[in-house]
Amino acid sequence: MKQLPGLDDIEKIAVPELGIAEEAMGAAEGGGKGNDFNKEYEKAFGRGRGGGGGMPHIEWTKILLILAVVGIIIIVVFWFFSVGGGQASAGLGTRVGMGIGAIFDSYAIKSFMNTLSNPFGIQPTSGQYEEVQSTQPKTPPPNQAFSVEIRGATDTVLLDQKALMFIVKVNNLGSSKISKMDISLDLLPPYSGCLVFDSNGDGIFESGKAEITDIAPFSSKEKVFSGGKIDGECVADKLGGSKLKPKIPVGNMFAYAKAITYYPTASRLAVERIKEDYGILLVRNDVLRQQKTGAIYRSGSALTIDMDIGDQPIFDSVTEAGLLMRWQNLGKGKMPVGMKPFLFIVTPDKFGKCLPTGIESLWTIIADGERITYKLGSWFGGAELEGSESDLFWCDVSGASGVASPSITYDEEGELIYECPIGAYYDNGECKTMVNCVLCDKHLSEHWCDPNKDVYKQIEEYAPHAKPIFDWMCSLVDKGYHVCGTSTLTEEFNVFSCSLKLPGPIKTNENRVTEYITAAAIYPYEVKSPSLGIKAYCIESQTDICESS
Amino acid sequence: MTKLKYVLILSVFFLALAFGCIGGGESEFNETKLEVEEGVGIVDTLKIEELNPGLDGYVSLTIRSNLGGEGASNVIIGIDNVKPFKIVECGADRDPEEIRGENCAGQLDKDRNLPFRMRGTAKLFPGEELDVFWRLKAPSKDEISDIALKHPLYYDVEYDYRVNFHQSIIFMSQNEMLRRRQAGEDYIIEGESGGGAGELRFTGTTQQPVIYFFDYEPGSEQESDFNFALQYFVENKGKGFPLSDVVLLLEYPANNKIEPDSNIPEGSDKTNYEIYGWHKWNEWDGKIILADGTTSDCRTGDIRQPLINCKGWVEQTFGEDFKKVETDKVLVKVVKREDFVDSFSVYAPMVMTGQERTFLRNSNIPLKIYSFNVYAMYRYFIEGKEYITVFPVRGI
Repeated sequence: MKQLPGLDDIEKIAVPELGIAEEAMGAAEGGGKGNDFNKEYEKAFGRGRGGGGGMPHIEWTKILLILAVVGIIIIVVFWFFSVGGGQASAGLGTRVGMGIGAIFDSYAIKSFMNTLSNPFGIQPTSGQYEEVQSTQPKTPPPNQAFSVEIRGATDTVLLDQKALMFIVKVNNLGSSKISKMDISLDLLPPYSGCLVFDSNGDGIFESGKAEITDIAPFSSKEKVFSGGKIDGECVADKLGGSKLKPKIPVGNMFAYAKAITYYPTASRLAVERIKEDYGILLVRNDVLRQQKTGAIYRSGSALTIDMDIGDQPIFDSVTEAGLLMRWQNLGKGKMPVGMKPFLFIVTPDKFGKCLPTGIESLWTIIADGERITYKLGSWFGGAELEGSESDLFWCDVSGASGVASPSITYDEEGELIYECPIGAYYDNGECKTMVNCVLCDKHLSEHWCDPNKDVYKQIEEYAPHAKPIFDWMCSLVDKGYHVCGTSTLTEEFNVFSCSLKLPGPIKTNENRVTEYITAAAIYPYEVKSPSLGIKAYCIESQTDICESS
Repeated sequence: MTKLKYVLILSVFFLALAFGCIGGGESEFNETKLEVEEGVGIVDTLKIEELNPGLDGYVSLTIRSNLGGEGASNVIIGIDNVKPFKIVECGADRDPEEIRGENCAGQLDKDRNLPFRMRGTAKLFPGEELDVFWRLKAPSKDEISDIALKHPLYYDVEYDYRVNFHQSIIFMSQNEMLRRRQAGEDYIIEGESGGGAGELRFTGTTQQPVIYFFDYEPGSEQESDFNFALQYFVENKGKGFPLSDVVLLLEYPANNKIEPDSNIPEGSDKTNYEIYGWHKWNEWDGKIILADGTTSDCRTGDIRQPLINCKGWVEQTFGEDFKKVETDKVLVKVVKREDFVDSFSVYAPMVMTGQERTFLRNSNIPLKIYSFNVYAMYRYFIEGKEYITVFPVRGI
């Protein structure tokens, strides 16, 4: 019985060279002779497979050749369809050229040539550029204003030792520049106030406060707080006045940074109106379906304002529409108490003022610089209201038993019954602060836009970066817009609704007209950083605060 | 062995090229193609997405008349909801509503006397493509209140159009039907039908074959008229809707073969075909007789235009080919726009004349095919919407 070739031998046999063939023959026949490679190859395989129907060398070649031909056919077929050849007889549209030029224009060849010339695919071809006029980002605006981070150079420190250094980083995540921001460092309760800094001449004060200025949108800035110490006496006091154990860190001590600034936000609602007969025609033919539309634009900011005026487009036979405004704080911070926010609502002149529903009828025009008394309805118990035009406010005084603001309230006999300051109302013998107060147009201009008034000064001081939007709102008063403002914006009071009159039939030959309502707010915002653990301890030599061992 | 290597390398290379490069990619050529339901189609829209305040840019709209259709006439292409944008034309910033004067020619042949936001042309031939443009000036920084303005801009196209549908209807004698049934042959056969491109699509719903019979033996006296009805189902399959009433013309075979059923039903003062809203073209005055017996003008234009008599408009919309129509063999029917929302059925009572029936009997013709052409004329409206955003740019 002859020996069968091993695998290694078969591989060698497959190489059509005489010497190796001889080797194969040797392996197959135990050192046999002959140089007829094919013959021996067949022999070897034939026996190796039990002597029945082995695959000769010529079959492999054929198979590979067939594969190559099939590959070429596939390419030709794919190319044919990729250049639109298959559509040439079916389409009524542009016919894509065929011929030699088309071969080089085909996607496959182009891709191959591109891959050769640009193997990593980082150089875009000219067709990949998007031709737009502006490079404004098209991604949805962020819903954050800014964030604060704190890092410490060391987390272990001796009490009263000025060895603490913190780096506070503020990231401006919104779309408005921050020109001025207050930063403060402190410890979390119960050790609030125990982190003390010396003024280091770099705008950092003993109280751990500093300012960061000019942070561009989507960028960040850092402030270094060095020379800080944990005041030992303060810590001891917070812990009840007893002395601390030496070399044992005070428990649960965390530092954090807080940043406060005014941040602006803006939002815009398109109010699309359509001629009624035309709209009905579209609706009837299922070309148009009225639907709710939210704000079409909002700036990147933690406070977002959305607006809704119902289903749009509005038929031009509709003469009144309710506008609902809702703002939400989507950011990680909050609006601090004690700093006033400002919300503006700009409506086209033809839409009228955006006054909370029903309020306009409660307070009427008082004016011409004279103290003219106007009677209000019986709802006010017959009380009369007077004041100068500049004092005019619209406020929601629902539930009040009487009104005495912004002027003096008289009873039916003309006797003075009460006098409340501006922005307050008389209720059961006391003045209460009005809520949902709205100032409009020249009244807003007089109260908010006068550089000598407190509001304007406040904006100038605390939010110089928001001043342009404030100035712009003030400037719109005389430009064919109604501008109304309120400063009662809070996170709790987050819905504002008003009734707008609509101009009626579209008188031009256009079928549709779109007007815009704009809301803008300047709001105070406070963001705290994640806290940073500090291990502060005392040693025996600090006898005033530390126990002796 | 060297040969084997080359074959292997070549095979792998071509296979990789075939599956790696071709299979995963898309053609760079985006062929725009109109569907048969489009008489005129919008093949490219405004092409501009953004503008800076106070600056201007071209917006254009490309429309094409379907090569398989009949061509459109009185084409008006417009943009709507243009304000607060202005249109720069004839050397000045124009209110979109302002009418072009005599000194402002515009771009197309019928632009004059249209508002600046509209362009018009008298005729769009089958396969013709038209690129109309406007130079839009964005509102100023102040006008957009310095806040990005995303403005919806509508574009619309309206045009007069004619769509045709032809149908060959098979008439079969009762004897032939019985013979086929007995022989086991298929006797339910239908003639050819088809039509050109257009938004209103016809489906012939006349039951075929129309089976007729003979009352007398061959060679004896003349047969009487044989009644049957043509039926069509008409659907709006386009992307818009007709602005006008839909006028239908039905062209029937030569005289003395097939005729409209003009018999006056008992108790009625109208002929059969009048009852179904048809009039003979030559007797029609271009007005519609309403259900209450009053007459009304045919509404042929858009909703902004006054009502005009229908007959002239039909001839104009039909075009040059109207001369080839034998008007004494044409019925006309008007479907009011108010009655047509999505689809409607048409019923036309006809007769095979006794003369024709006698001829078929005496000539021993068991099968006969008659061709009917029906045309619909209407003014159609399509619209679309794009947004243009005006971004405030600091410093401008």
